Amino acid sequence: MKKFDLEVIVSYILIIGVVVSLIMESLGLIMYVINKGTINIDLGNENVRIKFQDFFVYLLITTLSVFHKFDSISIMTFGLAILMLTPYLRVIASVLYFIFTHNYKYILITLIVLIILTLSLIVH
Amino acid sequence: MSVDIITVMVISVFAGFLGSLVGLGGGTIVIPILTFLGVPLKYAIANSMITIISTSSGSASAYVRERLANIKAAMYLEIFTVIGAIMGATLTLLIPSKYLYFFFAGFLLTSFYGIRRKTYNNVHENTVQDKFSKWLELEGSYYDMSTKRRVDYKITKAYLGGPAMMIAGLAAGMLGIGAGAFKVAIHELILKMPPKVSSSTSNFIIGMTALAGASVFIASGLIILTLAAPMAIGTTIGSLIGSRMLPRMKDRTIRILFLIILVYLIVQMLYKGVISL
Repeated sequence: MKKFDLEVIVSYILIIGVVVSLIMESLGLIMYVINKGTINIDLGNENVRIKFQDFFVYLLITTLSVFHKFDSISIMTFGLAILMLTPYLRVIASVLYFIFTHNYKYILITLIVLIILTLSLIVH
Repeated sequence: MSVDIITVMVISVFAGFLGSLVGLGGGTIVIPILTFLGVPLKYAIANSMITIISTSSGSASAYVRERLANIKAAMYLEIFTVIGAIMGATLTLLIPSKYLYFFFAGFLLTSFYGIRRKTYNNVHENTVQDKFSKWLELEGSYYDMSTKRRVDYKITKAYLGGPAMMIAGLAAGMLGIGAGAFKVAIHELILKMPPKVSSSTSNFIIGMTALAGASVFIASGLIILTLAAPMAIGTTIGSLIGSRMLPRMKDRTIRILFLIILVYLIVQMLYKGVISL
């Protein structure tokens, strides 16, 4: 059986995550400029402000929203969520790798990172 | 405020390009320019964190595949940088912006380490590992393309390097930057990582640190889609162009460019800090 190669898996997670998110953000941005007819950045515009307390609820809502609405804001929001999910998935892949290789020290270390990150994404 | 999507995109391409040439990272360059154009500092910092996830993850992908980044060392050090970044981002929300300008200028001084390290591109041979670093299995090997040989290395003093990385994470979360130069300095001076492993592992860690910082800023409503998206797209494109140009640039040209940019950024942030007092 082919060896479970952490480096290759992590490398793919990172590049796919970044490429997908940048495509979504570019598409959303182009649609935004065309539909709104403006290139101005309005920091007071609540429609373009991202604010959530629980990332995972936000991810679920964003994913449903992008398929349901497919408008510029939901596409850009989805791109941002994918981008944030990328390093998070990288830690999950590392935890799984160390579980497969029975490296208990690193299961513990990667789990600590995963728990801290998860808490920072859901508790404020 | 007078910035628009096109201006932010152009500035971000420029920042990403210069950042990858001189090893500063896009955030360090784009934040002072955006504040100069009237974007409030805290917004520039928060949206820069999103940008960093993108540029760092993109470049780390290649380093990981080439086995230059040490994943075990990164995972151990991330415990500290992630905690530091959450603390740093929280501090940014609490501290008045006028003080942040001075912190930013002060932290830029650590980037001068980048100049020194280019002249001492050596690998620490025969590093004696302490028990804790050995227990953490902090060692590795990679193929060095420039010398055409395999380099085996051992990392030491993890008990010191970890807590030191918390300071790097704190600065990164607080200022919306990768703090790469500071991380690299810890990797090389304390942990005795070879320079190539050091910079690629730092790049790998930066993405995770940025995610932790971004989570705090998002909860506070500082992330604006129309600002974060052109920043992320522009900086990533710029850094891709920069990394392609890098092999063709003369080392001396890069160093002079680095000095000019760094001095300009420090002066600009100090100026903004002074006038906001």
